[in-house]
Amino acid sequence: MDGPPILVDHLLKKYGRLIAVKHLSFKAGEGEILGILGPNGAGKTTTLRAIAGALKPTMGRVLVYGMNSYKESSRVKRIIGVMPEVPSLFPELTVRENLEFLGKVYGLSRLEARKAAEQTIDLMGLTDYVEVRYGHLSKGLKRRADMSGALVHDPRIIVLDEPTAGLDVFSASRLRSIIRELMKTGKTIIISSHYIDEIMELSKRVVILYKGTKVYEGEPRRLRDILDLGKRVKVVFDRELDESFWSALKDKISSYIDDTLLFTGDYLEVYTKDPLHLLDVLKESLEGNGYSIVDIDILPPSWEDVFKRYMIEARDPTGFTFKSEGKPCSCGAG
Amino acid sequence: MIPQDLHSNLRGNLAPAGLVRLSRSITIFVKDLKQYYLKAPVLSWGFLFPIAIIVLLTMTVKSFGESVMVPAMYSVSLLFASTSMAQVSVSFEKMNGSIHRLVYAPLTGFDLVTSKTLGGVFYGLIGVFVATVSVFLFTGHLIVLHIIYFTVSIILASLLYSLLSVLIALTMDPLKTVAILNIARFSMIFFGGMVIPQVLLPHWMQELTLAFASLYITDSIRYGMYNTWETVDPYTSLIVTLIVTVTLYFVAYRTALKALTP
Ligand SMILES: Nc1ncnc2c1ncn2[C@@H]1O[C@H](COP(=O)(O)OP(=O)(O)OP(=O)(O)O)[C@@H](O)[C@H]1O
Ligand SMILES: [Mg+2]
Repeated sequence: MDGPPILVDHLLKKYGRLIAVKHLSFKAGEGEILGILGPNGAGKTTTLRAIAGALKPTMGRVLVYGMNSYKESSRVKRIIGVMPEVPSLFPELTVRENLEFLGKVYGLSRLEARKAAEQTIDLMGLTDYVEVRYGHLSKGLKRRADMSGALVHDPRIIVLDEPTAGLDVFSASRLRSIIRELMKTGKTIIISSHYIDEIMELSKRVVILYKGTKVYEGEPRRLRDILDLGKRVKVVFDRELDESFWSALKDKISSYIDDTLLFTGDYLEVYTKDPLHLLDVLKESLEGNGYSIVDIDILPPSWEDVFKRYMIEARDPTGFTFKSEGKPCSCGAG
Repeated sequence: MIPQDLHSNLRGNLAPAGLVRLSRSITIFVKDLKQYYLKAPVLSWGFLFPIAIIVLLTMTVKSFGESVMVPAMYSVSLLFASTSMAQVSVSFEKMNGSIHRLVYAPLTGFDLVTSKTLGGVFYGLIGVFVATVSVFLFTGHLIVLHIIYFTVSIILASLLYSLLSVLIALTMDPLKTVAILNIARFSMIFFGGMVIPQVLLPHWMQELTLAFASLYITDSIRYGMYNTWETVDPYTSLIVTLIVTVTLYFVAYRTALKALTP
């Protein structure tokens, strides 16, 4: 078992004529939490399946501790735990029966499987639901049970495919805090999501996929720097601005504004690289016309905006160059 | 989660590989029984339908004779019972996504096929039990002249039918599985001499029946019970059944994981 936990090496997967993943390469180190981010259909699940040995690459390969994940799949599968993107335990079995069953399928004895199931149930906070049939659980609890199914055989690598998709904020945050607990155990975790905030919160390194191609790899924080979206400024006025005044004001401040996100008469939200000057000009014009500012907020750009902007740039080949591994470049950005 | 010392203690490192493989297949088989033994397709195809056919067949016992119709009852019960399980244990799991759990687990195609086939064999044996009870109720006696031959052919037949259904269910989508299994069942009944004795079919059709495993199975059951056969001699029947079973096993385990791994 030589080599890093995960090495994806020029992976290419075709489904008929559709290329789901194109020459994808990246790696995950021991104990690392790697995020895979991308919109629907980007190739996240395809990549994760290839890592887990449940997909035959058209070209390229995935090595797990040096073992070919497809050709040596029964060895690789033993040390990987997968939480598939859809609820997938056996609906007629209780949570306990499901976990004990999976433990045994992964090679534990009956006694070991029982012990492992109990420990996993404790860890996942499912104690109250052990005797409930999986099919009767709420969606949030189902996902927690799904995650338990990935952990029961104590794998060295954990693969989580959109663990929080479709959950309410409370269930999602509960699941994320469990993932944070898992991070402390030193396991290698690979987690896919289309929520950038989630990836930001959980992982130190992210691979962004778009239409099967890697468009970014590196620290998520660097994305914000590359794009240099500036600051998000929110201003609340004391009352609705007069229409003619607003069009004059708009002209005056336009040189400071990169992007107007929202204007509702008494509320303005924009992106700017020069918030102080913008606010100066705003204040001066407003006060000269009998208006006043009642609230101001200056925020970093939202991750959703960073992500959206990045995707737009990735789509535009003239303004954007695909990055190679490691350092992100600012080619064409901004 | 289990502690690290347990991890190194995985049974795979202690017990002989073959036993571990078999124990995994049995684990899955036991889980399937727990989950599916009362599911509608199993109940209707595995019990109710064979019982209905048995009732129909018993009405014709008088005209065709016991050695024609009783083996047919066994054959029908076996066929329906053995092929009913994969329709749920594979197709349901494909539909609700739980088959992924088996795909991600360290199972070989052989483990998977063995586990899913065991369910059909188990139901096939229950089908034989139902047939035995029915025969006894309707005729008042039970004749099995070659008990070992009879047992071997029953087990082989349930393996063959079960493998056939597992192969279909693994490689086809669930809706197609239902359709193809039904076509397979009814042509096996018709051409296997179960409802209409093979000798009564038109001449050209009689030759066609030789392509259906059910013909050999029915004849071997007939020999096991009554020391007589209609079309194929008992040793040819058994050998053909064996060859078809082994071939199906081979094809099924070679294609199983490929079918589930895009
Ligand atoms: N078994 C399959 N057969 C044919 N096409 C497939 C198959 N699986 C995935 N695809 C296609 O491959 C592309 C990548 O799919 P994939 O499921 O990997 O995306 P994803 O990033 O996981 O998307 P999502 O966020 O919707 O889960 C999609 O266009 C999808 O339609
Ligand atoms: Mg996906």
